[in-house]
Amino acid sequence: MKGSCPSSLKIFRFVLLTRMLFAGHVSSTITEDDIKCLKGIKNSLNEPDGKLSNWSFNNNSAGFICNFAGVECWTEREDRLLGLELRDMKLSGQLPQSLQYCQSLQTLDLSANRLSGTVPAQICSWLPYLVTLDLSSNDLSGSIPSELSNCAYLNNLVLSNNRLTGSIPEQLSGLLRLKRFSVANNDLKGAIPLSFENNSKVDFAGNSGLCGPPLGKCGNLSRKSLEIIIAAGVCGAVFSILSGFGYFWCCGRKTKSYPQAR
Amino acid sequence: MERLISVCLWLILALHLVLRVAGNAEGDALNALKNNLTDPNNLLQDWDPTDTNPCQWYNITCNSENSVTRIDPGNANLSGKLVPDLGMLSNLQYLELYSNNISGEIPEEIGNLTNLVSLDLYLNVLTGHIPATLGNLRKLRFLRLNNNSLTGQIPMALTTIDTLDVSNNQLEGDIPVNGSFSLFQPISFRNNRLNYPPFAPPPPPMPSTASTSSGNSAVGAIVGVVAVSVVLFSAPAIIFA
Repeated sequence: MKGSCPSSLKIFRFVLLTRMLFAGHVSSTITEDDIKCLKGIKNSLNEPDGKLSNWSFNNNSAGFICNFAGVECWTEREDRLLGLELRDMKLSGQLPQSLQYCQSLQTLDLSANRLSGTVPAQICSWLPYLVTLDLSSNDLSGSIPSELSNCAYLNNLVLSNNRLTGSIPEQLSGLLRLKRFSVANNDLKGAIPLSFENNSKVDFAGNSGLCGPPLGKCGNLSRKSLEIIIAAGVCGAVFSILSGFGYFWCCGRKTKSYPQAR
Repeated sequence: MERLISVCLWLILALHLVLRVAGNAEGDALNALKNNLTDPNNLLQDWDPTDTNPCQWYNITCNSENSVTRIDPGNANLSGKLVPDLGMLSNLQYLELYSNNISGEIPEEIGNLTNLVSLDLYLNVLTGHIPATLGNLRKLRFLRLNNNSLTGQIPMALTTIDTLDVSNNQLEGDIPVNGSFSLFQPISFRNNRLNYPPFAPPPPPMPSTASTSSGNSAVGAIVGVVAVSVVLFSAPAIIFA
């Protein structure tokens, strides 16, 4: 019994080590299954107008999903999604995890819907080959995940017209192919990363707390700071006057009485 | 009088022949293709060279001026080779010959098809290089040459393409990343002999001094104003005392 304990521990350590080694090399252990992906999307998102009614999973011939509304396949004969565009369909719910099975997806456009929740931090491990991500005009909240920097091939990132908060992650400057970037009309604050300074296709408007080029300079004192300064100044002035009077009252008396004694 | 009638008849015949020849130029090109292909399923059997134009032919679509815009015999068990004559179909937009058994090379003359939007030759047994002349196709949006035996390098001149798939070939050289190639990611290029770049880690984020300095300057300003106001207002008190 005693002997078996350390040997099983050795095995456990070996397995753990191998798993850790592999974790570094294998970027995704998820097998692509675009049918599973679309089934999951249909089940997770609520779509009231029946625009996804032709998403029928009964006839399973090769490439049958390629005729679904909003779906563009790499080729007609394979069930492999190139693009998914479900604009303006009153879709509600959160971004579904089943997206991770659409591994070949290049374009995801879910704009102009009623999606809620956050931009998932794992979206770039779900869809590592995204070139265009458009989640604009939804009801997304929370912050922009810094993990979006893992979408190395991202050319277009459109997150405008949501309720995103927090600051723009510095890590987004690692997106070497990023050309169009819009976070307009959110509740973002803080400094815009300097790397966006020379990009003309960026849009930061409509975020009252954002500062830095191309918007106004950071470091301008905010209203709150100004109020604190004025209050501090007034308090300081009042304190000095009172202490001045106090000193005058007690020490001034002494000097007045002195000449009379002469 | 008889002479006049016979001259007229000859003229009519000549004119008819001339018109048929002119109207058939595109049909001739398609027939050259048909003659170069083996068609075991007889899909191309109604491609008749004596027709005035090919617009009624199966898998052929024309525009309002009877000029060919689409060729669609995909998945038709065709074998044989493509022909340079395809290059004269000046209004061709869609060339869909995918999923056949077509061999030989992609003719350079395809670069003359300035209206071409989609070139789908995937799932065949084509060899040779991808013609650099494809860079002349300013309207080309879909270029799918995957699953063939193409060799050589990827021409850098391809600029307008939305959707590119050259995977599953034997292409060599570097993967272009500039210009419109920035739209393409590894899926478009996999299973070739290309020089796949190591995934470069993102550069370290640029230091943002703006946000911290705004905090510091506010605190500094408050301290400064308090100090100055204390000095200012206590100075007369000291002087009087």
